[in-house]
Amino acid sequence: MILLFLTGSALALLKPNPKSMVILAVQYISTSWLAFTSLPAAGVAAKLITGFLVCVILYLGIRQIGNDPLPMDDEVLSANLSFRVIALLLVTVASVSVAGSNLFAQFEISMEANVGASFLIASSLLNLGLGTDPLRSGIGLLTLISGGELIYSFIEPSLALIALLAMVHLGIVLAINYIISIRIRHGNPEIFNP
Amino acid sequence: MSAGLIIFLFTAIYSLLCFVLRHQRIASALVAAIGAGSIAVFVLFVPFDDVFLIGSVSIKLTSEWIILGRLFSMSDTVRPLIGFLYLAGAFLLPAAWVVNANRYFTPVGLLILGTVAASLMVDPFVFAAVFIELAAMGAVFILVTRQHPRSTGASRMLTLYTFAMFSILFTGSLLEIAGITSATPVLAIRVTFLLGFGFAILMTVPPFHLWLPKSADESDPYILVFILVILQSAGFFFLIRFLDSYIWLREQTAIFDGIRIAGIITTILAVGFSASQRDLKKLMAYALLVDLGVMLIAIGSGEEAGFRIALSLSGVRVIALGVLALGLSFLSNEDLLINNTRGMGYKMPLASVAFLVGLLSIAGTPLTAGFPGRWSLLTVVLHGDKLAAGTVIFSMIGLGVLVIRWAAILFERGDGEEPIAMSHLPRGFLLGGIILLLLLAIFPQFIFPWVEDVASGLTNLFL
Repeated sequence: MILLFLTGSALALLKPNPKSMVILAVQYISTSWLAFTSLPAAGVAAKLITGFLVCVILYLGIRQIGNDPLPMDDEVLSANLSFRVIALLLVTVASVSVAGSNLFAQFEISMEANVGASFLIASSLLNLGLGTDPLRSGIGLLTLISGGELIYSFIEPSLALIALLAMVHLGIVLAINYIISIRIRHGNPEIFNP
Repeated sequence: MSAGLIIFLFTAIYSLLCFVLRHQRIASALVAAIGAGSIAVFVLFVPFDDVFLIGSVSIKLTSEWIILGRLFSMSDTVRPLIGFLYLAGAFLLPAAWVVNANRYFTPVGLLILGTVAASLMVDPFVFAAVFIELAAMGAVFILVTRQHPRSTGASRMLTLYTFAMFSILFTGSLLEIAGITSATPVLAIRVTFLLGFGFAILMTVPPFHLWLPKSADESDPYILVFILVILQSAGFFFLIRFLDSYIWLREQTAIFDGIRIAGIITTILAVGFSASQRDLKKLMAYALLVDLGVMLIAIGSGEEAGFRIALSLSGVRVIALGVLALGLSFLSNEDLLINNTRGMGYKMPLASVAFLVGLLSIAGTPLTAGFPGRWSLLTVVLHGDKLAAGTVIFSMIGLGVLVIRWAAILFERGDGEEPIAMSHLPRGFLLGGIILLLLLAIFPQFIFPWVEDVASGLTNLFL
C-alpha cells in the first residue's frame, strides 16, 4: 500500500517521460500484490504480465519524445509543482476518507485494497485533470483502471473479467501510443495552440 | 458451430480484407458494405438451434458460445439489435470512399461493429460496459488520423467511457449481489446515481457531451457520425436491456422522470447551442444531441408506446445522420479549400441539399423521415405532459428555423460561384440518401417490423 502511495504520488507530481514507465511498472506490481488476497495466482500473474506489457509498449511508443513535452502540455494549466503537491495532499485525504466510509460495505474488500484503490482512483483523477497531454492522460487512465480493477477483483474474481480488463489496459496503451505517434509525425505546432 | 463465433470470425475476415484493400478505396468500401450486410442478414434470418438443410448438407448453428467461462448468447432479445447495428454499418460504410475518409475507417469500423455486437451478446450483460469501452478505444484510431491529428475530443471520449465502464460494472454488481429493493433506500439511491452517471456518459447527455463538439471540430464528420450512431445505439440498447432485466428499476418512477428531465434539458440546451454555431460541423454535433434528447423524452415517458417510438427514432436517425454527414463531408472537404460557407449551395448544390434535408429530418419537419416518430410521440405519448411536448415542438421549430437560416447562407448569391464538378457516383449517393429520407416520411411503416422484433425479445418492458 505504501508503494502504491509513493508511485501514485510520483506519477502525479513528476512530468511524464519515458522513465515514468519504471514507476508505472512498480505501481502495477504493488496493485497485483494487493489483489493477491482476492484473485487466484493465475489471475495475479496475468495482471502482472499485462502491467509489464503496458509499460514496455508505452515506453517504446514514447521514447522518441524523450523529455520534450508534447504540445499542449500542462503548462497551459499553470499546474506547477507546488500546486500539484497541494492538490495531491487534498485528494489523498479525500481518498482515505472515502475508503473509510464503507462505500462498498456490501462486498468483502480488505481495508488495504480499499484504501489503495481509492488513492489510485483519486491520483488518476488528479493526473487526468492536470493536463491535456495525452501521455499524462494515458497514465491517469491506466491508474484509474488499476484502482477500479483492484476493487472489482473482490466483487467478481473471475478469469474472464481479468482477461477483459487486460484487454482494456492494452487497448488504452495502444490508443495513447497511436495518438502520440500521430502528434509527433503529423502534428503541426500551430494547430495545437489553445 | 455457434452463431457468435461465426459473427466474430466473419467480422474479423472482412475487416482483414478491408485492411488489405485499404489503398483501393472502392474495393474496401464494397467489402465492408457486403460484409456488414451479409452478417446482418445472417443474424436476422438464419435459424439458430434448429437443423436446416443447405443442399444435401444438414447444418445446426447453436445460439450459445462459451469462451473463458463466459456465455455469448444470440438470444431472440439481441438478434434484432445486432442485426440493426450491422445494417447501420452496411448503410454507412460504403460511402467511406465517396467522402475520402481515412483508409483505416472500414477495417476499424467493422471491428467496432463486432465489439458492440459482443457487448450485446455477453452474459451477464453488465460486462457489455467493457466491450463498449473497447469499441470506444477502436474509435480513437479513426477519429485521430494523419489528416486530423488533433486528439482532445478523442481523449475526452476515452476518459469518459472509462468512467462509464466502471460505473456500470459496479451498478451491475450492486444489483446482482447486494439485492436492491424498495426496502434498501440508501443503496437504491447509490445505484440510481451510478447508473445515471454511466448511461449519461454512454448516451452523451450534457455535461458529458463535451468531447462531441471538440471531436466535430477535430475529426472527419462522416467518421464521427458513424462512431456516434454505433456507440449511442449501443448505450441505448444497453439501457433498455437494463430496464427490461431489473423489475426494481422499472418500478421506480423517479428513474423515468430523471430520463425525461435529462431529455428535456438535453433538447433545450442543444437547440440553444445549435443556434449559436457558426461552424457546420459543430451544428451537426448539437443537432445530434437534439435528436438524442427527443429519444430520451420518449423513453422517459415510461410507456410501452414511448419505448417503441424511441426504437423507431433510433432506426431513422441512422439514415438522417448518414445523409447529413455525407453532405457535410463534401461541404467541409479541406482538399477543395472550402472555408467560406456563403454561396456554397451554388458550388455544391446536391451536397448542400443533402445536408439541409438531413437536418430537416433530425428536426422532425413534415415530409421528412424524422416527422412520423415525433408526431406519434406528440399525439400518442406526450398528450398529458405539456412540458415534454412543448420541448419536442420547440426542438422542431428551433431546428427548422436554423435550417432556413443555413439555407439562406448556403444559397446566398455572391460573385463567381461556379459549380464544383462532382462525378456520378457521389451524386448518386447524395441523391439516393435524400430520396430515402423522403420515402421514409411517406412509408414510415418500413421500420415497424424491426421495432416489433426488438419488442418481442424484451418481454418485460413490452408486455
